[in-house]
Amino acid sequence: MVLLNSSAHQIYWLGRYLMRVKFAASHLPFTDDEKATKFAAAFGLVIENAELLNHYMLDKKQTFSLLNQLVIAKDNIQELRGILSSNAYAELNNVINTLQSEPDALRKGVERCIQILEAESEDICLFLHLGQKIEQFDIELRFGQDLSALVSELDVVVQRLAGLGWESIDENWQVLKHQLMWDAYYTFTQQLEYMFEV
Amino acid sequence: MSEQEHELHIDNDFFIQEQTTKALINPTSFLEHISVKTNLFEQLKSQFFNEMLDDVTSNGAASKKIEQWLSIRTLDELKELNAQAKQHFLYHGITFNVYGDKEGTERTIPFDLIPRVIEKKQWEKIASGCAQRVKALNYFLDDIYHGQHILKEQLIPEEQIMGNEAFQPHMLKHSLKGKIYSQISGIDIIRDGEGEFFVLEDNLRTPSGVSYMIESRNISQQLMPELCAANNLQGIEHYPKLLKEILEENSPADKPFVVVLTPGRFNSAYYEHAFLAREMDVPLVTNRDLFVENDQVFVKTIRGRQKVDVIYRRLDDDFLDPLAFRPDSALGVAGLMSAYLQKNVVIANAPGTGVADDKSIYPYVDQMIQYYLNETPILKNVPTYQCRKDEHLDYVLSNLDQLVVKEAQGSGGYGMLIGPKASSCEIDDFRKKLIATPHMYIAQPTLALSVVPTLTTAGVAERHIDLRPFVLSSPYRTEIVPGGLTRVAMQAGSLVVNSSQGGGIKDTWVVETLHS
Repeated sequence: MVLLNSSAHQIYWLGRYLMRVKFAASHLPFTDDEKATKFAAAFGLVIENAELLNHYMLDKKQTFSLLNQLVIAKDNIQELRGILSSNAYAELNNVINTLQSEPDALRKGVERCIQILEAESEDICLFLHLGQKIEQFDIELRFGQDLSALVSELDVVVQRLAGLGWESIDENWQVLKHQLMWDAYYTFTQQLEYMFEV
Repeated sequence: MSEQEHELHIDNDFFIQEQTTKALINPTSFLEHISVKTNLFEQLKSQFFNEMLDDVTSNGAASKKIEQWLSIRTLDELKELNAQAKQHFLYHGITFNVYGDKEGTERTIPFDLIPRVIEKKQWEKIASGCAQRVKALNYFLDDIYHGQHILKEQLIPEEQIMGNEAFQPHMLKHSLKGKIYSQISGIDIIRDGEGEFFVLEDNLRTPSGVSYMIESRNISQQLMPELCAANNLQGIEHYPKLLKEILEENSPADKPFVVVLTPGRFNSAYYEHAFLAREMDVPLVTNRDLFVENDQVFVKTIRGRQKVDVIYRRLDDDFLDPLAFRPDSALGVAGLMSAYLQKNVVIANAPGTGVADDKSIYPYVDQMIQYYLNETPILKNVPTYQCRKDEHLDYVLSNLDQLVVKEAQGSGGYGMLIGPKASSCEIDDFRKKLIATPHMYIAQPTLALSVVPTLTTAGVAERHIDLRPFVLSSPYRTEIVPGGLTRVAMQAGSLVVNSSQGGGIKDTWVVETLHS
């Protein structure tokens, strides 16, 4: 199987969206207004009411809601139709189509999607993990968490990418590793985006 | 033309528990021993040629087995099997989009459980007729882009070719390996009231439907394995492998790298594009995956650029290359035609192939066969009136209520008038169109298309069908997998089989013999 840059890009973003949904769903439902406010603020949202945030996250009409992230994930899956095995495509499509807008169901659904994708080829797994870990990096950076374990994991992924000829990302990765800040993060992810284009 | 619908309600009495039990024990042989309590299909006798009943060239052994299989099931059971088929199509995303559908939702194609049977001897005639036709059409394409002998000898009016919007001047004097322009051809075949096979039209641009042919077989084998096994069906599952080989054989490269070029996931046939790419194990690409450098085409992969040798394109000529064709094409690859004309990449089917499947060129295919192959056509054409000719136009205008009028460049059942079914208003509209642009239309008599038993909500009823076999051509061989796509007009009396117009599909069984 030859993996196209565009397919790798779709897989990368699929990994990011799935991780984003998984993370947010794991915090739902919010019961404490203060926690909800902090959570919303980390994503640039001004929502100071737990119930409202719960509603927002599960409202399909809201662009950044969890359900809309899944709609985008579904689009990614559709774009990957030529590369995914027939059963994987059908299962993924089915899992997303039948997902209930309920936190526990969302978590389980996303985990199932990841499981299905991880059973596909090594290249697919590599870009799926890249997307998941970059998204996790983004989240942990937002919440000021300790990134050291994640950096070690990403180190392995970056080395594997270098094996594919993506050595040029290493320089920016080294900068990011030593400066766990937004500027370095954006420079690195922008370079990743560039690699998907060339 | 009016049509009486003959529907048959399957009675619960026909369910024979004992024989079903036998089927479970020995699924391949039970059909040999079962006795039928009623002539299920006999009750469908009508004015139309019913392929399961009226074919005197066969003894109907396979039809009988199907009839027996149906007879031991209740209507509810059969509906349940059809529902399972629909569920299978939905689950696997075997869907299509309909242009202009406001809901923009994906639809599953209606699948009919009852297969269409073609005897091997009949199939051999169809296959050789299609192969002959495609061979002649390829010679014709080579001729009109080179010596134009057929035009010089005035067998076809020059203006009909040179003025044809599908004619591509880029292709003039450009030679192709083995003179193969149409690597993948879909020939639409019908049977008339006498059971005679006719070619209704040739599809040489990007004929679609082959994935449905393969999926129909898959689902038939899941839902009625014993019946499939009992009929010793000729296989079709090797089509993707064959297609890949044929595409490779059209390239001068040693180990050609093949891609499938799709307009993207919003295209009505995206499912098929993805299916073929996956089954051939080649990349499914859009224009943003490809680029041209020094007249070579490359695809961007995670391991770097990869030279592309063959592009199985599923988009129209106009959109292939904004530098050569429509400058506003957002789907094409800049420089592709230049690479193609330098013979650095094969585009299948070749640009400019559409001129040969134009419906106004169709009436000349018989002459092409005689002219290029010195053979008599194996399959007949349907009589066709070319509205560009004054005498034909006069006749068509006087008989619009009796004729089928089609756009010369149309497809998918769009832009068509079926006179006997049309309202006076629709006929008047078409009259105006014909008078304004007669060269854009052809007309044919309304044929009494053959029918086959089809499962409907009320029971088994007759429905009209056609057949699209897929012909694969390389410089070294012509291949046709046995069968093709049977399309069925699901509405009673309807003659329109196109999926975009509500048509459905059936599995097509080429059986070893119907004679005992």
